[in-house]
Amino acid sequence: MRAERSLRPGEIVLGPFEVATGASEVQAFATAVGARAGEIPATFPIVWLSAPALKAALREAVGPDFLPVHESQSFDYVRPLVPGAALRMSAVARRESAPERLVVEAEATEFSGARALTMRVALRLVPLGSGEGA
Amino acid sequence: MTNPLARGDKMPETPVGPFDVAAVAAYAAASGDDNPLHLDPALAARAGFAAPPVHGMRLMAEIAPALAAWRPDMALKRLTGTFVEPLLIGEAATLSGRVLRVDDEILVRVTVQGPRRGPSLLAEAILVPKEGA
Repeated sequence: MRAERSLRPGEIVLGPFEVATGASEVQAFATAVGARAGEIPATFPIVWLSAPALKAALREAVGPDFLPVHESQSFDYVRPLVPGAALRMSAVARRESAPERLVVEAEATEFSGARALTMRVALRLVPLGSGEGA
Repeated sequence: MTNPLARGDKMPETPVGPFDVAAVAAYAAASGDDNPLHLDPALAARAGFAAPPVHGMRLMAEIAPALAAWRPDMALKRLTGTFVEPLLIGEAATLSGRVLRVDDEILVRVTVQGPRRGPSLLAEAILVPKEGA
């Protein structure tokens, strides 16, 4: 995602939100993935997509009739994440159909404005209630 | 380690999992990904799975440490992956990797293969030499 890119139809902007590499969150995540203490796991930023405000917006974008299944994920690391840092994250979510999908592109920047990382999440939306996967 | 990587070089294979219910619940709690598909056997059954699938991101979390253990002189610049087949709770998998391309950057294809025909995770990592390495 690039900040200067204009929105396409059907895209919704999420954020910016403040996110952080807080010691307790990093430690909890590192323990859960069996990583060494004191390191920030490469996939830790996925935690930021579970911030309550963002999660609620994503749930709304998915809608009640679908079960999201993680289809693909990417991280681009621009600057190393350091412990105890606060960053600003903004995201754009886009619904696709045939197949039903929600794609989220997020960018975390330092408060100086320097980009730290970008990530892209693709969720396949499995219809609930009838048909395959229900 | 200073020997340069070459196309075709392989990472050592490493075991991944099996993950039990507690491990999946711990990942759900720590990551905030509480999608009930991973936690609710009844919902997983409705989706056609014999047991809840492990979070794909829990599998992806194995890649960076495996790369760092293999090549501590390299930094991870990009990590991308597709979750092809589920890995269910209780199932074991194997992580393997191979260098596909070497130029300014090194492209490594990493696979987490479980018991199904397709891989649970098909990933690509781009490595660059660490500064000063």
